Amino acid sequence: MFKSMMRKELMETLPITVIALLIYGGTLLGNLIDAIWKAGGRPFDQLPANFSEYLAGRMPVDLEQGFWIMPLIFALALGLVQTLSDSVQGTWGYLMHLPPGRRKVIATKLTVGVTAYLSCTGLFILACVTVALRMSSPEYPLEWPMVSPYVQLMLIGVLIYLGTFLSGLRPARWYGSRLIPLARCCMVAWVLAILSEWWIVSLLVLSVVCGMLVCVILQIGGTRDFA
Amino acid sequence: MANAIVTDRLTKYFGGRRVVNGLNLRVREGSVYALLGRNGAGKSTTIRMLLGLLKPDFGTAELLGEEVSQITPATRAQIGWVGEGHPLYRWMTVDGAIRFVRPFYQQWNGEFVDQVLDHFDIPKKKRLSKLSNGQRAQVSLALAVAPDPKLLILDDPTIGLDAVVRRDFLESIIQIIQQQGRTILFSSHILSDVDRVADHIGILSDGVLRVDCPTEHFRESIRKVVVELTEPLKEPPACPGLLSSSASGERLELVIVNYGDEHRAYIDSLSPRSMDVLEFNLEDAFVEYTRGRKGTMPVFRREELHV
Repeated sequence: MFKSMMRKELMETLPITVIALLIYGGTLLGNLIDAIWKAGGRPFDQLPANFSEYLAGRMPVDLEQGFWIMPLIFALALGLVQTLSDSVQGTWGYLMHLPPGRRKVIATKLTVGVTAYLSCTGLFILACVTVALRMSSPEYPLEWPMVSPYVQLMLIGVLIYLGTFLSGLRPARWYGSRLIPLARCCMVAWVLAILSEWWIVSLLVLSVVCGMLVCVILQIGGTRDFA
Repeated sequence: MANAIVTDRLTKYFGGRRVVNGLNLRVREGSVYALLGRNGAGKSTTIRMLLGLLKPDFGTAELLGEEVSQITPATRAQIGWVGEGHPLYRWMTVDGAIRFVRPFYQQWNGEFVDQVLDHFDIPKKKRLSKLSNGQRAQVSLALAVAPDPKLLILDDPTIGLDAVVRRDFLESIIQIIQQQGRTILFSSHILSDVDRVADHIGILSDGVLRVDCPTEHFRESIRKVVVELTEPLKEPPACPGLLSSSASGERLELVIVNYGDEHRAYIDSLSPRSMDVLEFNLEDAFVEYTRGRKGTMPVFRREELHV
């Protein structure tokens, strides 16, 4: 039965996942072409010897670039699609009366959402790293600090996903108050992004906050009215 | 016989408004119970509380012997639901919807589903969004009945369907009813539908269950008495069980619940020239009963039948 539920969730999130993959792929391709262009148009196999440096030098600092915001927008869109589609179609009641019960249905949704987000974004990072590795050289090696910000960003995106899911799920009188969980998660994400000692402090805080969010989501999903 | 549905003082507020007020409902196993009421009477809210989709502010509800908030997946699998407007994933094909729902249940009567699809000429490959309202209603009913539920709850299932499709839908329900031991609770606005299928009715008015008795008993209890008087009545008529009255010159019309000797004596005291006692069909009886002043509505209860 969970396979059936997961299949349904995957089908509903497929369009947004495909769009995200296209944007990720386009971005990678765009950066490759840009790197080749800046390197003076040499043949492809010789070209971006400094690509890893280029990639690493560009991404962590250019927060204004759309590149950085992409995983976060993907996480946000995914959370919205998974909650609001059932609200719009009027199918929450149908879903919740099925035998597994509310919490298991919500847990399945979360599992699919987090898996879709992490696998797509992870795939993109893996592709970036693979390209960078191929282009790296002893003079310009690809090192973990160059990759780490991507992984951090990807993990922070989980927080944004859960915040959006909670905003979409919890009942509220008007949209402003409905978005409070998302706004709070964005603030936490911002604090996490600027904290030093990311892999010790921030990751711990992120894990605790995400765990709490999952509990709140399951609690609200298990008790709220589906009128 | 045991009860499939039992509620005890079930109450729900929306904002400050009490939508369902201390509902004590008993639906016996194997019966077909119609929950009636005007718009906003609390029918859908009651059904959603029974399904656990809305949390009552007060009171409890039991389905098939289990408290709704604690219901186990095994018991939940024995409860079928057809929601108002037939909520289904419209992006799915008919076949996709079947493949989605089927794994949730241990029992599945695929033959019945195929019969319904075949009978109503519904292609399995077609998307639900491309089906007519009537076809979607049939798919929705087939999916709810295929797990062979002990209890089937239908929330205004014929709303928005034209007369022919409604008739087809009812035929399907009658076919389902014929399988013994299945309890059906349904709400409806279409009283002729109710008359055909329900053996018990409950009428909700402002969230209060005012009527809970066999359909036949309700229909026979309400009478319209048309009296021709010798002179116009000077004071408004007053007798027990009076739902409404209208006077036009020497003609007086009374709608009375539980018409009997007491009422005959009252009318005799008015020295009428003539008097006719008219029966209602269920729809007219319902309209007459529910359009009166709510505070003066006489209450029908199952217990009264045993008096």
